[in-house]
Amino acid sequence: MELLPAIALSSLAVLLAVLDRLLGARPLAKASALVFSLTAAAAALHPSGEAWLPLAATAVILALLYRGEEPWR
Amino acid sequence: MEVEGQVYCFRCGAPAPRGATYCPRCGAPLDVHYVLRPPRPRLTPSLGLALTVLGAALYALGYTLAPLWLVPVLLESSFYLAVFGLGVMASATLWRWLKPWAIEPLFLVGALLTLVEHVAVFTFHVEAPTLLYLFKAGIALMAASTAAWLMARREARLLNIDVVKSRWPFASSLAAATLMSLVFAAGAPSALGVVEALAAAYTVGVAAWLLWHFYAPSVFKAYLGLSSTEEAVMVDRGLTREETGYAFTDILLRASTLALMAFSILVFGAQLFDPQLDLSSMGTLVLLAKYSLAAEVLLGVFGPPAYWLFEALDLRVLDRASATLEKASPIGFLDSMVDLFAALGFLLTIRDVTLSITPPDAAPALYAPLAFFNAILLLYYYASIVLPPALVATALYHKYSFEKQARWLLDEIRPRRLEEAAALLAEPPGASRS
Repeated sequence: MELLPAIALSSLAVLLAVLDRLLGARPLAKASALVFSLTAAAAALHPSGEAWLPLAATAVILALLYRGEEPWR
Repeated sequence: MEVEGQVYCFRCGAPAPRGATYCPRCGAPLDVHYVLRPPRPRLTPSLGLALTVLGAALYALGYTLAPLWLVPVLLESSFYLAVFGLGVMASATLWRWLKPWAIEPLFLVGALLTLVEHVAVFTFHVEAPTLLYLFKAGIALMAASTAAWLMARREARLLNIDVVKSRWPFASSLAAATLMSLVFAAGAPSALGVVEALAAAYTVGVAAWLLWHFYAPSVFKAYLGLSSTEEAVMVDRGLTREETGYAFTDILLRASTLALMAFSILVFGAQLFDPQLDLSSMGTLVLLAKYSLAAEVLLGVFGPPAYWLFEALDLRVLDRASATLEKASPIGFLDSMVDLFAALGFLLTIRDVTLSITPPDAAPALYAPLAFFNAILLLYYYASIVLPPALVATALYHKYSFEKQARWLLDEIRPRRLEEAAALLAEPPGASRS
């Protein structure tokens, strides 16, 4: 995965997570997790070094956002 | 030391009053057979010493008496055995001091040794063949720490000693993931490459955990799939600390299950499509590693986390139509076979790798056993790519999700108590439920 799509997709995941926080809509959080996980899987299949940096930053943001939550409810 | 009026379970070693019908811990029938002495500790410094001496003896034998074809095998295995023995000796001493939590850091020391060797060889290009022994010692120490910790936990359970068995499990898991990722990254051309390799491991780990964190309970409920005549039954009093607590070694073994699952599925699939697949080439290994990482993220949610939840909740399914009570499991009767198949799959993989790196014209008796040891090194290298993300995901899951999900599922499913289930079964068919 190239740098640009990685940035675009991880931004989308963060945006969905932030919207979930603002609107309290759980489906948005689930969509965010799905988008991020699919992006990470795609990046693992077609790795290019620099794409991992924005993805790792997104991973940290999402982990901080959801670690105390119970989003399966 | 015999205690008056007390017997011990022949199966699990738990103490029970004389005349007890069943073992209070494991339920084995004690009216058939019991033992009079408490179980003896097995993890002792002398066990470690014996292994080390055996290793040294095999080494000496390798140099003097052995037939030529056996020499490399003896030299190789004796080294692993001797270091393993030293690891067990150190662990047993720590266990004697009632500090089983200090056994787990030995794993990190082992991982550090493998890293030092790789950094020396691939980053600083030190050319010393003996350095490889550092790498092998690291692997043996990691194995010794894991085995010794499991033995110590078993003995603590048997002897009813309540000591802290694990400290800093989360931090240790992340440290192990980082050290192993760095082993893989040691050959990277620049510092940025090392950072990227670490970022990749953590990103894949967090991505897998997020899916588990959001979806594992739904997968659990789908697997449980109760029909209209079925109900969930709980056999014990609820979640205990033993079931929801976790140690670094638990996380390590559970993460290995995930990594092995991804690896086995891929090797199986790849061999179906391409029977001539050359597992020994670096190209194939890298390809397999890439697909394994994707499989950990995408398929992981359907496997390990739901399985761990089943293990912790230990539910039974009561079918009132057929009046049966069966263990709830994601794969039914195959439950007990899983470990066996995982072990078999791993052995077959090692055999495949071994055969594929044996030159066709080599005398098998001379070469194949040595190739087996090379296969161990190759698989560790592969594990340094696939295991770190699994460790990150499993550590995050156990810290932030596992216990909460298990408790939430109990609230959702509201399993009946065993006594209620027995009463239900005693009801005549067609009688209304209270």
